[in-house]
Amino acid sequence: MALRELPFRTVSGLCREVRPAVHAVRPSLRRNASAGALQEVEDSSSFAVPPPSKDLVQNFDPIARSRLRRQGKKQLPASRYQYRPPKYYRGPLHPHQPPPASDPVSREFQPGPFSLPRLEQTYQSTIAADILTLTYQHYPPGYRPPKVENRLRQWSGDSPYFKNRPLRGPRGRGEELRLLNEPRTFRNVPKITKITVHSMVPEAQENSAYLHVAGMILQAVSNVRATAHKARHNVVGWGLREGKYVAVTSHMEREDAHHFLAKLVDVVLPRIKEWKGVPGSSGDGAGNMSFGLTPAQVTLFPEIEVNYDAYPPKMIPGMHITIHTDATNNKDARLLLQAIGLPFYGKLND
Amino acid sequence: MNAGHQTTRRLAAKAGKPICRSCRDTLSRNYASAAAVQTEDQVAQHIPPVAQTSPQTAYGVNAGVVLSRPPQITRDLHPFESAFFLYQRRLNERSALPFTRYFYYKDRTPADREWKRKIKQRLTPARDIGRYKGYGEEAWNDEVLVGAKESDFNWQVERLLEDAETTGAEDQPPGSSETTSSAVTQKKVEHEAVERPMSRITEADKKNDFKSLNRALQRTLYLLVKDKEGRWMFPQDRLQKETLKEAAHRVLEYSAGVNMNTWVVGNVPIGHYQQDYTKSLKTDAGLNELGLKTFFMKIRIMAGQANLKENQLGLKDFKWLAKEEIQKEVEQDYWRSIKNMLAERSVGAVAVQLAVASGVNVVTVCSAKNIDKVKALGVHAVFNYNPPSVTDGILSALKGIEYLGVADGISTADSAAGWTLVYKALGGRLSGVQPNPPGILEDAQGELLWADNTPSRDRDIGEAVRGR
Repeated sequence: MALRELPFRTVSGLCREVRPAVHAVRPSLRRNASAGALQEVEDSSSFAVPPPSKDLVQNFDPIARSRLRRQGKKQLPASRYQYRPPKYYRGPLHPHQPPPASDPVSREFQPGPFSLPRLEQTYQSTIAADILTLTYQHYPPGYRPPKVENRLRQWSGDSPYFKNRPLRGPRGRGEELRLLNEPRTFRNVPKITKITVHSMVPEAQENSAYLHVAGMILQAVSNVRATAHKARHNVVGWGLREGKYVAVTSHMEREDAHHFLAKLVDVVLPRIKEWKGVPGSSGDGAGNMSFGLTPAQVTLFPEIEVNYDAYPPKMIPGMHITIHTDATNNKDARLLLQAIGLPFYGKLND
Repeated sequence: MNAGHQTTRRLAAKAGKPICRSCRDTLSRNYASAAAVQTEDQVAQHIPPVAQTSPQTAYGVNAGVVLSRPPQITRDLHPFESAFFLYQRRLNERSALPFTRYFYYKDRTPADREWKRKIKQRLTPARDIGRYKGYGEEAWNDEVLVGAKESDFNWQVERLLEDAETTGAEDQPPGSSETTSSAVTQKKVEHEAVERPMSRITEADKKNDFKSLNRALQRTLYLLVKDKEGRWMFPQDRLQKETLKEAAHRVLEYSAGVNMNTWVVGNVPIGHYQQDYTKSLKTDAGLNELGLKTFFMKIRIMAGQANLKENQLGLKDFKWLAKEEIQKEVEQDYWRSIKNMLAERSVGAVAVQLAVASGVNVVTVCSAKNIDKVKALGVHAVFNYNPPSVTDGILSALKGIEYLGVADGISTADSAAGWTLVYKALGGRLSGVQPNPPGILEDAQGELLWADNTPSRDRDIGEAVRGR
């Protein structure tokens, strides 16, 4: 496209129209209430004040200062000094609004991140660029993509209820709308979005200790609080009874996910004897890949090994690991995981 | 055809000089298709025009290889990053549930006693955040003082090693131990010495050995060779009857030898360099060769080392260089074509880079220590913002350049003072990052563009700014 050549030419084209504008406009066509108010309140910047002297900086002891201040005086209860955000959100018009979740006083505040994971750095510096090169599709100048016909069907008929009704899904049983595969650009290089660890322990219906052990193991391994799930239906074949707790999961994102994946690839999987890899049949066509670990393999996690005695050996569960990526097909997701270091075996599911 | 296309075409037409052939082809064809040819739209996919039957001019085609060694270790954290991480970890100590001691240490075991001794000394279960207690009266004191070492990476590593090596009883006088009351034989628990991590700075770093692959472990290194004429460039050779990938293998073998384990990333080139001859050459096929185009293939090195001993391309020397070191070695126009294919994390100064990339001459100010960095971004001129004569310098640098306006990336009273005089003298456009920059002139000529609402309007920029 001509756009490719354009940046320089755009500028030279635009430059012709630039001249000191004839119409002198007072820049504040639009006023923000906050900006005006701020100027009224703060007329001088804190940067104008000289920094404290070196002596003062070296001898500064916040604890001693606070003790000195409190000496001999009875303080009000702590709640008088502390701001507590409202317990409930009462809507946007309520005068007492909760602070954003990123504010440490907020009730929803969660600290973090605590580190810059190595895997994330590798992804940024190496993997992303390589995947972009590997999946690059060249379109010659002037190429226009073929028109995609509407994938959803119209409601045909003269029923008045068809008006404004959402379009029908694709024809056929079990047929669903697949994700669109957008052309690859530097903006949509697939990346890890989430990792789900899941462990199902039907024995927990009789003895809840199984569920506790599974939860502790998942928490230790994933650094995320585990949630327990009930069986939704009676399934005689699997011995499931409706309403009984049978499984635990935990979801990891960002830093936790990267640390978990790096640990898995560098520590746990290499120590498994005769591990073939992730089955090639894995993948749901939307960029998510799953595989499982047996109880014996779960014990290889360093967090479990460090206090292996704390877990009853017979109650250690296996687990399913699902790696969610924002790839839109199995092939791209597999490429990403292979670059990270997960091998695949057997027939590939494309 | 939509409005975007039309704008593009109008701009391209306005720019005056002829645009490249294939683009012009496309544009004129678009006109035609819009006017008459209705069948064109039914042909879903556009087939680009075939080249002329007897081309008179041509370019020679070279295959080049960009052989790179990816970073081997994590990068050094910026002091702000490490301070931020330490602060977050201390906040975590305040909000996390207490450490479940009996889950990890059985009561009355040596490990348990050691734990108790150590927690008494450092007050917190975390071993590398310094002496800090997350619960109690003084939990608010979670910020480190000026000059404290706690956020330093090496300090944290030392604390972890110390924790692994000591029993916590070293500092206590022998009589005062809590377990000596009975006649329990105080078994001396000795921890064995832990292996130190390897240094992040290697021998090659100290010697500045450009031939070594052990240098600059935090950076991506690229193989650069010196050709017959003494110019530094990526290995390259004339493309023969082969694919680019085969050519990449051959060029690498002919130049740097076979003693390397490499992987060619993909089948497509990652960039190209065009060299125009001053006088066109006549080739054997009767074509006028106007110049050379080199297409670069990306290769990663896994093991081995380059060896020029038996190279067949007449190369004299080689170096493994990081991106900014390449800039110093290669020629300016070569650098311009290759710099964007050497992938790197972007480090600030995005505005300047965007402006330079779109062909604008940037004249800017910065602090004294950053001048070299800003220069490397390709600005036209850069000044230290402190001396009072900076305005004159800027005005003289702007002489003979078509002037667009002022962009202020800070929009405070101080920063406004920097450009006010320039703006008074020249006028033009003005952009800031706050709606009402303090110190803005009453009689400011021109338009003010606000950047404050860009993140909410443009989804991509907004996501990038907010880090989602």
